[in-house]
Amino acid sequence: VSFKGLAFYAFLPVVLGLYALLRRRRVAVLLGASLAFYALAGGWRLPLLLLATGGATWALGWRVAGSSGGARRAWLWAGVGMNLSLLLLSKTQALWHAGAALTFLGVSYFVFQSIAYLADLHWKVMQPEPSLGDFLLYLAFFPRLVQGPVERPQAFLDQLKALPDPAEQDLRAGTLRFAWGFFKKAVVAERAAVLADRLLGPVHGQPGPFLALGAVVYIVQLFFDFSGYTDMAIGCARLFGLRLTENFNAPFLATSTADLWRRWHISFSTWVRDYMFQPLQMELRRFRQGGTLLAMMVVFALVGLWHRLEAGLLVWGLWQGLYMCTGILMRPWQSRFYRAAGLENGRLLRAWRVAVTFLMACFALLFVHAPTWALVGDTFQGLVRGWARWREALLVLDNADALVAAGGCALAVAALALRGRMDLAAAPRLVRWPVYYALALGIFFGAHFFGLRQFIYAQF
Amino acid sequence: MITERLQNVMRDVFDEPGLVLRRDMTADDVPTWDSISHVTMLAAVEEEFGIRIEMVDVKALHNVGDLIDLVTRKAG
Repeated sequence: VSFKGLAFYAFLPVVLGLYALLRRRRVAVLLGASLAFYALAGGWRLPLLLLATGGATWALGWRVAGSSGGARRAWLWAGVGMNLSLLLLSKTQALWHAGAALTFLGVSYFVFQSIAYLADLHWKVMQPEPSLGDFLLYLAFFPRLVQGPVERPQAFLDQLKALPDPAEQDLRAGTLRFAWGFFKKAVVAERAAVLADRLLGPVHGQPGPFLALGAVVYIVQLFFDFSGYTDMAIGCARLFGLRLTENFNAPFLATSTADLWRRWHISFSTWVRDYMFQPLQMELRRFRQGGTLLAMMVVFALVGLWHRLEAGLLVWGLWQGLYMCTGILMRPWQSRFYRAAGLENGRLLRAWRVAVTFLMACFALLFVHAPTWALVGDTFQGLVRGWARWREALLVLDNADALVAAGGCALAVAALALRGRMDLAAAPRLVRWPVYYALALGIFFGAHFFGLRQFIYAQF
Repeated sequence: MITERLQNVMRDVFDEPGLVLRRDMTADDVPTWDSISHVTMLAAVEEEFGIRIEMVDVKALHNVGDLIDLVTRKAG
């Protein structure tokens, strides 16, 4: 079962019906549905794994909150260590497990949430959760189980204490958000994927203009794939009256890499900031700026390797770290220069920074297609080679796939421009229904004629 | 007295010579005060007052007033 499979659309109404009927057992309904969803998506072992580690995390949480000093730290590290071992196991299985790969679908995301819970208890940000059922639902809630958003414990658990009746407004807004996400995936991400594959090829031997154009198309694919999934998760949760964290905020308008990370995969980047970067920066604070820069490089290297243990992803992470460190070092000089040149707050400067940030992100992302060090080298070499073939690269975009993807992008830009000015879920029928119809049509044709690939982030 | 010394530290770290502290002030009020410079500032505060700030203290800080109270408690 997944958002792109037909079975989900039989599963969801049943869960909604039970949820509406069994008002006193709502957490149980959602937890049962989530575990069933998990088993159907990745086999019966996964829900058992979640119940076992989740139950242990919950019990250890009480120990953390109830002790002090060295014992408190020991209980914390027992819980964090257990969760990290599981994550490490899922990421390194290819190294020690020769046969068919075990599936660890969704494990990263419940591990992140478990660590957030234990750390928040340790830092006295919250009290331990009294209900084991509520805690397990926090880890297992099916709309976000497979690839996030990464929820904060307090914000989610508080909502479970007063689960509302499904309201018309929630159902309408949730359905619309879900359909919009599906449209982004089926119409834009899938078409862009075809183009990106053709442009990036096997990386080895690809000429420069193919790689450069491919990088831009791939970042568009990744955004529409991942933010599309997130829209579907947020919309699906909204059907039950639950609010999930927003994951994207117009990332391609970012004016710096730091700004980009405040706008891209937000639930994860804030998790990394609060549970990895800041604690490490505090540990290294006696080294002043040197400590901050070191923490930045270490954290982004780990973030790269979290995606997959591959050379190219490490390189991607190191580029991100380098961008961030350069930003920190340049900032005082940059602002002085802009002030002196009279460029401060100017539109021109903003446009320049947006363009540079975007191209830097594209460049770094190119390396995720290079699993080995040899291919990382090929990527560097390829970028400076074969620029005489630029016309050929552009011709890859001369087809219906590019036209459909561009049309979808234009719609997304229009939606962004209208954001905050118009609430479609509250608009009159004459506006709403044509939009529903167009979305349904786009999804139908996209999914029916071309099929859908797995969501990119489900593999991490 | 503590507020004044704190103000000098923050003026220095955030490169804002005209910064005047208020108890209800937060990072949103100072453009160069972000999550990265936050820890740099705390390290400078530790040095200025000869105190040690732990993660659990960091998590309890919501505005400048909290920081003044923390320093007062630790240095007092």
